[in-house]
Amino acid sequence: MGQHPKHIKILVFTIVLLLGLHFLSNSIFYRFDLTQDQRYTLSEAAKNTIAEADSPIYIDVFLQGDLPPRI
Amino acid sequence: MFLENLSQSMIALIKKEIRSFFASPIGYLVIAVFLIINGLFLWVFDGNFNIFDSGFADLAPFFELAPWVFIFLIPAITMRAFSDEKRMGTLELLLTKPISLQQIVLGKYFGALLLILLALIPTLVYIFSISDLGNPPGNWDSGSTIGSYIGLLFLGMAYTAIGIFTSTLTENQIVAFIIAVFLCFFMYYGFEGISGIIPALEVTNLGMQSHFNSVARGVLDTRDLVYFMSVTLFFLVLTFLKLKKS
Repeated sequence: MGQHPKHIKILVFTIVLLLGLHFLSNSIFYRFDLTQDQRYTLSEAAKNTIAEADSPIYIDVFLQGDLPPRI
Repeated sequence: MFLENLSQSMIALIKKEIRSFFASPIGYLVIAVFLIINGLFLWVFDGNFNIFDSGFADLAPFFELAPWVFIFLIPAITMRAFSDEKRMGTLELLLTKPISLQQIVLGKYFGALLLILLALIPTLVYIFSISDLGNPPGNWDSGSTIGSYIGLLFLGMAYTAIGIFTSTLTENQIVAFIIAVFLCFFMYYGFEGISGIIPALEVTNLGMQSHFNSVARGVLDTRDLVYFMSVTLFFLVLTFLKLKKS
């Protein structure tokens, strides 16, 4: 590899570029929630509730009945 | 005019690749095996992936299964890309043609990617099944399904780049295949496995699985897409450098 400094230069440049892209994409990003019911997006009401709470919120979910096996 | 010529030679290379896939049994085999494995696991065999047993009319099991099938199928498509040319000595011939090295790499890459797209198209039939199975019929989440397909496409792009790279490492197709399967498996599941053993490391996000699962839910996050494109670009640059060196 020693006699190919140009290749190493390209490789290092690519890695630096990708790392830069990574940090940039982590600071500026957008999520498109394509699910019909916006399943993975917090609603305004939920955000307001969280803003008012000043201690951790515990949520208990109780399920009963003939449920599909994947739940 | 010059640019036009360049892209024309690239399209010629892509066409040649696709023709060679379908001149040998590889193209038909890959598509048939992909559809048979998916069809059996999703609709016939009992188990985790069976859609009837899951009780939900959605394609989540398909998008859980497909990455694992791709781990074996995509290296099978890409293994002969450069190793065959090297063994037959036609790589030198290709390099003397009025086509740049970048275009050779991209031509081989898009040729393989196109075959994977052809394998994915028949699975659109599953959407009709899901739509009919829903209660009421026709009640399926189009948004999340489109998102999942985009995720699968990006995953296929990254796997193809890995496969193309490993085919430059050796003259032997089998060796290229095995290295590609290992690399794809490591990139997909390896980091997940490592952070399972040593939770303090928190390297899950370096692996493809966490990014793919996030997209497969139906949430297109620019961070995940940038991740897959980075992996693709990285391995294509490695391919380019390896060929340039030889």
